[in-house]
Amino acid sequence: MKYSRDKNLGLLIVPLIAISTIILMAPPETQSGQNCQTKGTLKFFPHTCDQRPEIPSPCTLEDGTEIVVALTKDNKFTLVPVTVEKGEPLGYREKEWDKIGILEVDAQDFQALARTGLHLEIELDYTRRITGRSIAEITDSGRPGGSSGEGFMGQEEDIISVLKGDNRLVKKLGLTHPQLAKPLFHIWNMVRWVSYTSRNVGRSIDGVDYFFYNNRKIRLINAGGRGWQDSIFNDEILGMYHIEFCRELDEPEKVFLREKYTDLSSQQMVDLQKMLSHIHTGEMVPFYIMRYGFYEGHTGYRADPIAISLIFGLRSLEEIEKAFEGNLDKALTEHFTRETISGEGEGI
Amino acid sequence: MKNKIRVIAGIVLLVAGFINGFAQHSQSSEQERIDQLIEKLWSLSYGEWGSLSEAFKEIGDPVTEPLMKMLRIKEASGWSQYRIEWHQRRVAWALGQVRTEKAIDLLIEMLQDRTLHDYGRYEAARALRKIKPQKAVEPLIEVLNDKESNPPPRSEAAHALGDIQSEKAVPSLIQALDEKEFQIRMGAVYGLGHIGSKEAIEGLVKALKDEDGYIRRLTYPHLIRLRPEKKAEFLIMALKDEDWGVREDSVKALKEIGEPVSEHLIPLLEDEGSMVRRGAARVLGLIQLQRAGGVLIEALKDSDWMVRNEAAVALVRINSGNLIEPLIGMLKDKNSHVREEAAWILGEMKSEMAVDPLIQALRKKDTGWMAAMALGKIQSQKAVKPLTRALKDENIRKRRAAAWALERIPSGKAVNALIAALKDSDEEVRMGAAEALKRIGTPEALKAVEKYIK
Repeated sequence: MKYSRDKNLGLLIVPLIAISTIILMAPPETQSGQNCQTKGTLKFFPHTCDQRPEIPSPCTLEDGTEIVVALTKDNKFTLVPVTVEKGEPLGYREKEWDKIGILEVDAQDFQALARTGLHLEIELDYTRRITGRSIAEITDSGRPGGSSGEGFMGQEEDIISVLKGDNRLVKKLGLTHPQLAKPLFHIWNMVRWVSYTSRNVGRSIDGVDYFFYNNRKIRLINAGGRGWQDSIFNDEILGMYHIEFCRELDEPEKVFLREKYTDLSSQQMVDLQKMLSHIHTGEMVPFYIMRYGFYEGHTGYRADPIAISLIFGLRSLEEIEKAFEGNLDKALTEHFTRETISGEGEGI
Repeated sequence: MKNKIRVIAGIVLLVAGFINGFAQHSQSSEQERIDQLIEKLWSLSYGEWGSLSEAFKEIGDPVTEPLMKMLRIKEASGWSQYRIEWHQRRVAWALGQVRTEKAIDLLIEMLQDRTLHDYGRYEAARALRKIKPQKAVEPLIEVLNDKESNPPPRSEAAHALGDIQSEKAVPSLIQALDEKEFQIRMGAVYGLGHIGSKEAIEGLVKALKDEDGYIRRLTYPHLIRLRPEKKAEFLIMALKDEDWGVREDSVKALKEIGEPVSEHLIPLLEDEGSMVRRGAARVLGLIQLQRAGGVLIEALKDSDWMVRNEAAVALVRINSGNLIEPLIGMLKDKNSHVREEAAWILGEMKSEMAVDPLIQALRKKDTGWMAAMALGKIQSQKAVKPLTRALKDENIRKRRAAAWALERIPSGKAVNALIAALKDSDEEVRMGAAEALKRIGTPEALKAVEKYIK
């Protein structure tokens, strides 16, 4: 999706036809009133409407345009284009930003990841360098006090153990890394779009409070610039934004957790619920997941694959619990070290 | 006669009136220009002020009075601190563009005025930093020493003293290195680094003991510039620093120097700090120092996995034929880590010479898997038979590695063993076998894969 307004016209024709078809097929009341989609137009944020557009969220139009339905501060609905593809520069550090290949996978180092969306344990066992950097250098740079004060992994974690640990979690969920990267790219593209259209690049975005995703209502708590962050890998990925979002667990989910985890104290239960439903991360992470299967280790910026799958409705809580059989709290908190990640994983 | 006098007087009056009118007109048009310029400055954001720089310089002194009038309305009721800050910063910035004696005096006045906002005074120091007037030295030292003032103007005063290069400021700058506030210490390092006198260098050496890694990181480049003869010594010191950023800068600088620094680096592979050994191994690899091969091979025995990893990666970067033989010898080392790293390096070097020794090493229970991976990297047909045997090994990792390697050395001779491996208890072995069979691509192989997928 080209973000430049004047370039949108050509791209709008196909989605227009698709939306028009939806509108014509929809009950008459959806065409009346103030709509985001009307016959002949498809209006994106900052345009808003009173009624929820009759399209799923996320949805992909015939031309491949991906759209998310969002809710603004003043409770109005809005459509945000979030297509996962190489976009135009956001407006900061353009030259580097423009180079970012959203869908790129590090096939040079991880052939299985490029082919299947998951790592082979044997390839991770073999790995001694990534993007030409030794794993010691990446680990050193990724630990707290390295290239970032907070770090990209815990003090005792190392890059290979973190990649292995998360690969095992994702495999247990029956998902792949690109599947988990996609909703994060959607949310990042939404932040980009809102920043860009509000001419508020680099600052906290102000405009979208909630968005809908696979029938879940997700709250965008905050997204804004926090200064530059270089990548720990030898790549062009750069960080500037932090992004925080959550999906409140519904009552049946809370009851389910209480019944399954009877030995947890009330504080531990609150913590478990928060870990499952809340993510604070940065825009580097979706690129990292896609390219290396890296979600960050156990730091304040980790986008845990279990939480991603639950928040965005890729897996239900029952499915997740079944995959971890009473060990959900451990799966969410245990750090990935050479000791905890020893032995052979189950294989893909 | 009277008439003549009247005519002359009339003409004189007319000319005088005209001149007066013209002067008044010029004055009012200049006033208008000043007003417009000031108005424009107040409408622009910080990054855009520069576009007005020439205009302020061109007008010069006449704009200073209106600017000071603007400054004096700082107490306007109801203004937020933020608004006051930016109001004063604009005044200071504009005076800094004017650059006349009068403007400098006003900037000094602003710098010393404690009733102003911190960032108003900061901007005044910043303007003086660009103009570099000697008469600002004493007031700047005064502000730097003023413990009642907040860090922004004090830090900027230290920077300005550095840019003015006044040796008078050195004692105060050295004293400022003991300040609690990081920002002031940062300014002091800058100041000392730019003055660069003998005493200033002594101050910088003191700054190398600062508790904050970032201060040390800022200090090293100054010392290296001021004492080029001690460059290697400083960089080695930096390589031993506990701060990641200091070490990273050192690695980059050492890499730039290249071979001349190797005599300092090689002994560091035996340093008691693993961080230092790691850094040394990394630099030796980055400068691809052939004669470091032997010591790096020894470093594969290091107790720290990160040192072993850096040494292994360095050896691959050096990639010298002379290393093959000693590395082959390492495949029989009693230490499993050494055998594993040696096999990895030989695989990455794609050494044909290493095929037979790696086939031998494939038998090792604990590290045979890495030999299998290395054989897959070298892609020698010679390895097919031993790899098919390895597909039946009891060690899961070795079976996985064998399947992975056989995908990279497609051979009809492996088909039966790979078809059998499709029933392996481990899914990764099965997947590897399927991929290898697909790559071989014979009807028999493809049929087996099809059946497996179903």
